[in-house]
Amino acid sequence: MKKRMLALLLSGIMTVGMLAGCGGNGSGSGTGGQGGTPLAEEPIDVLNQSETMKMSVVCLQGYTQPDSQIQKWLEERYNLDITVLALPGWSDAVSKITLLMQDETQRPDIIWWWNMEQDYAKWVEAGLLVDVAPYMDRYTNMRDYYNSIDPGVLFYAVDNSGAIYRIPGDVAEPACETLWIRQDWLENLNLEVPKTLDELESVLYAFTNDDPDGDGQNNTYGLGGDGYDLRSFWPWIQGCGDGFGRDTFLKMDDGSYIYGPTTDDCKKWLGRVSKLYADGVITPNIVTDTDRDEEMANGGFGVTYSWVSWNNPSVGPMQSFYSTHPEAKWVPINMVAGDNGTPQDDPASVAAWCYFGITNTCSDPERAYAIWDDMATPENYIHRRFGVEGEHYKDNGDGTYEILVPSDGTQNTEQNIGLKLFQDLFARKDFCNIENTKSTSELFEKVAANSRIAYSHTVEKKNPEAYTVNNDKGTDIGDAMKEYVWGVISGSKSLDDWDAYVQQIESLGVQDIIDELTTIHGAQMKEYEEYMKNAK
Amino acid sequence: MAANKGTKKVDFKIRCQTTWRDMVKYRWLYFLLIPGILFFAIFKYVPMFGLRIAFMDYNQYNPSASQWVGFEQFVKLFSKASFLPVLRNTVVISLLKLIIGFPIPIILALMMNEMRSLKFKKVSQTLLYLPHFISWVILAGIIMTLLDPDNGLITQLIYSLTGERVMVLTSTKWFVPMLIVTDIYKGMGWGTILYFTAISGIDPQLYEAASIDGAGKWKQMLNITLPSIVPTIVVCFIMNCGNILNAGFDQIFMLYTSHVYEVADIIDTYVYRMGLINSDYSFSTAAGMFKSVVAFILIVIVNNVAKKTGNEGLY
Amino acid sequence: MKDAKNHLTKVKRGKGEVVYSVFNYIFFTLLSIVMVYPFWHVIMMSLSSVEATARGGIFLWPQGFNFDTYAQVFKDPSLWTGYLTTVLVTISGTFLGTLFTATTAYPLSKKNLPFGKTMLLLVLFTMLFSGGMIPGYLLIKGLGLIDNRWALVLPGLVSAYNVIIMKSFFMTIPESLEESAKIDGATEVTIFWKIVLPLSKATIATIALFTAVGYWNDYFSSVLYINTKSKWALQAVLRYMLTNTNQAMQAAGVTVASATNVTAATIKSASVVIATVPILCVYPFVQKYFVKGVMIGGVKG
Repeated sequence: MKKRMLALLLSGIMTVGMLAGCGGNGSGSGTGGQGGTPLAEEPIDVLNQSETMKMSVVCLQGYTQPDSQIQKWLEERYNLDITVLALPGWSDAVSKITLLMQDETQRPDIIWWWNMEQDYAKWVEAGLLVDVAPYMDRYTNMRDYYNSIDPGVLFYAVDNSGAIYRIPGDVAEPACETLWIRQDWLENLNLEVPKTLDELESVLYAFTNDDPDGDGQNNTYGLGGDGYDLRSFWPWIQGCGDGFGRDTFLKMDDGSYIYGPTTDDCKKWLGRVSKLYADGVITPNIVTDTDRDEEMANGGFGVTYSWVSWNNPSVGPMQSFYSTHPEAKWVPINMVAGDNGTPQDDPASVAAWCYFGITNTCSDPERAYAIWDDMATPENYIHRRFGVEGEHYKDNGDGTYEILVPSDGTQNTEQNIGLKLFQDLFARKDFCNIENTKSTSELFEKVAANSRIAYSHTVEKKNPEAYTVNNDKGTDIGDAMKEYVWGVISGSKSLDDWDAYVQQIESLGVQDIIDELTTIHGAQMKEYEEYMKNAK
Repeated sequence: MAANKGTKKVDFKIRCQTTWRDMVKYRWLYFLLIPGILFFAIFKYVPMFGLRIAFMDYNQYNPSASQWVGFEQFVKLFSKASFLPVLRNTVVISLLKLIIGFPIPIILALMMNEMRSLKFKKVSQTLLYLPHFISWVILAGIIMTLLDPDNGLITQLIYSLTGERVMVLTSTKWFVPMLIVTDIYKGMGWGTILYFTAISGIDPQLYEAASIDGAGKWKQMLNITLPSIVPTIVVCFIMNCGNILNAGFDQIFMLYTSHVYEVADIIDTYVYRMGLINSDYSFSTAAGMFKSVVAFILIVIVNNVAKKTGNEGLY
Repeated sequence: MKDAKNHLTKVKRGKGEVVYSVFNYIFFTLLSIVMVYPFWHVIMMSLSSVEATARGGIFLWPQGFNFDTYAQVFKDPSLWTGYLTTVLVTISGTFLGTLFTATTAYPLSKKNLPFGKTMLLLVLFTMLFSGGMIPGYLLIKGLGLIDNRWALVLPGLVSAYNVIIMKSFFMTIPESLEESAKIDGATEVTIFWKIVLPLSKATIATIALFTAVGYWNDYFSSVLYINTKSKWALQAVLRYMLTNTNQAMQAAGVTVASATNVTAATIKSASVVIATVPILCVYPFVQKYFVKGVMIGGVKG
């Protein structure tokens, strides 16, 4: 038996050894750093180019059928031959992007990605991406748009050396969620719109127990929302204590850093929310991983903290909901005031959630950038995103528009129009998003203004890959936090164990992360202030 | 001593000669092996040089910038405070799946074999295979619908029976049993195929002789059918033992939330979450290699036990 | 031989056996219902209206009949190209894969083949250790198969698991059968082709089925090796439909509204029906052969 084991082991080692010898087969693709990007003598006139340029573009979202109307329009306008490399959906996209980028024969000219900070750092290091900073100064549409939103957008995209290897693809509105309530239920029960957290809670109890839909059945809940997402409890998070009980690291006004989930504020809101859950005031499946759209279409609850854009009549979940509840009426209301009387909405980050870049395989990076910049003008953007005036949308002449062919609708696919093509490779959230009605735009402005105090505590990282301690220990801490917090909400864990939980988080090294934040993020904030000063 | 050496040498020579003679004798068998050897060499062994990545800090975008780090990735894996519970969960879940799930297809195959109506047998066989074709993505969706805490069919059933609202998907008590049950549900029908094939290989004359001797159905099953499929059972069991660290990534990944990390977080899901943040290719290769080595050792042990007890092993 | 085939019906049945037999039928009827129900549920979901799927409570029949999901899904040309790719890949892969599995397993089932055991161990080794994503990609690239449908066929042709299974079955074939042929002067290739293969029809059917299902359900090879959407396999297309619809980006504050009459839930159910129904349609025919194979195997010469 011993002999056989030995033979087995030997053969195993042999094969591995033998194959290690083949290691040379691995391709060596690094081409070295890019250095400063040279500019063409004259700015390129993208509309008058005699030579057809081949361009492969990676994109995920949108309607990527071959030869869509929008793709043809782009190809004719810029004398292009576009190859669209469609990514295989969110879950597998990262693998595909990795493979495409490591293979110099398949590397696309325009790459798009999100959440791949470590890879991005390696791309820059290996010289796979082109520095577009000089182009950005020459072709200014995209730059100007981002600066009009917030100069910080570009701050988070720029490399430490001042080079720009990643162009923000899509930046969210400063805040994109608001508090929604069923107005018809309020009226049925003769209730006022709640203004404080306490009032909100009594409304929730009434919605649960007093049969707000008048069908004689006990089938309604107070609060509903996105399952397994703590933002569903935002009114409590922002309203308890000073609102520091958020599920992340926070920056204090004095420049120090704290971990929100171990603050007393967090303990407070957890106590209140878990009581509501135990009392059956919240939809039970909020503790499981349900889909927000489906929950909304489903209905059955009277308060939720969710998307501002649901205010648009063209939105699917709301349409589904109203088709089965024609008498219902959801209205957005002001955030309720909590302990400290300064209600806040949930701020989104200023850094883009996705980026795109021009790779070193692109035959003419400057022309590619110039084309993208031309695509970014308001009229070209609207054409790409919403199609032709009169055919796909209608201009009412008073600054409002009517969408005739929704980009998510069947007509778009059926007629192969291609609306939303390259949507994540530069999207505008300003007046060019004509899908927003007037009241939606106002609502966006309102929640944006009403989220600035909360935003001042948000920690945004310029180069997340540089936070090595966080990257090493963050997952474990986050897991332990979620396990406890969701346990308390669903009732399987007790708030009595709070101290043990805080201790556990500390033993996992939360202080090390805070120390790292203090040095790296502290320095970054100084840089940020400097940058913003110059930007103004 | 010298003489001893001499005979050994001769032995070796003779052995070489006989081996060579055998090889010439079996040349046609080697001819048959050609496509298989080529396939395994090219598609399995050539990519295996990638395993060295586990001992590196690999940079896939600039391989020449990768560095050898020895066992650092393994040390990183084992030194995580969360690694031990994860390892324990992995072993517990897959052991339960093995102990409870393994005999079921055998029993089903034996039971089904006793059915007289071929048509009924065929139909129920087909239906039993069905879940195998549904991926975990879809199955997880169905499971979540059925177990919805509010209006799920099964939740309501349990409620009407016990008066208790059991939230299976967020309960540390019920989540693992749910994993076992759904895993059995998906695989048991398909698992019978091999045993059916084995049963079909049994010489019918054996049954005839037995029934002439007056042995009943039950006795026939015990004395003929079961012993005849033992080799298949052993082979399947050894291979399943090699899978002890694969507790079912797809299944758990689709169904779990932090409520149940405590009992359901396995090596694969853990590495996946770690990888999401760090995109550390070397780290996940090291974790994979650890699993392979454990599987390797287990298979060798189980195989040897099987052989010691008089069964045909894998090799 | 015919007697042997019918031996079951000739045996006298005792009382206990009848009771057992009744129990057996009831048991398997119930089990079949349990097996089928989730699938039935999915079909009904895919045919129900968006509102009904959102509300839940679909039990036996569709509510608010709605065929829009299928109409919508089938408008996507990539679904048809996906079917084409999958059918091509499955057929060629199953044929070649089963053949090569048999040719590999047969010599390895001979106990006294020099180096046979070493080779078996090397095959076994691949079951446990594999190189991973990037080395696999580099190989396919080295073979010049990127964006080629053969990249979906070749890497999955033979699996160690199938070789082992087949080898174990070959070992149960009595040596005497082959010996007599050998005396007649037949080579091993002839014996393999003329005697061993016909004897192992059931096993071959089993392995073919395993291989076919593997190819049919494979989506990740398309993700890794194919860049052109029109060459994607069906499962990759369906997965794209599922994962591309919404979710992930809501975390970043981006709303993805779904089309009016089609939601993630209905698309999800429609796509499982689309992916599974063809297999179910083909399956009874395969199984017919399969059962036949089992019978022939049972009679043994």
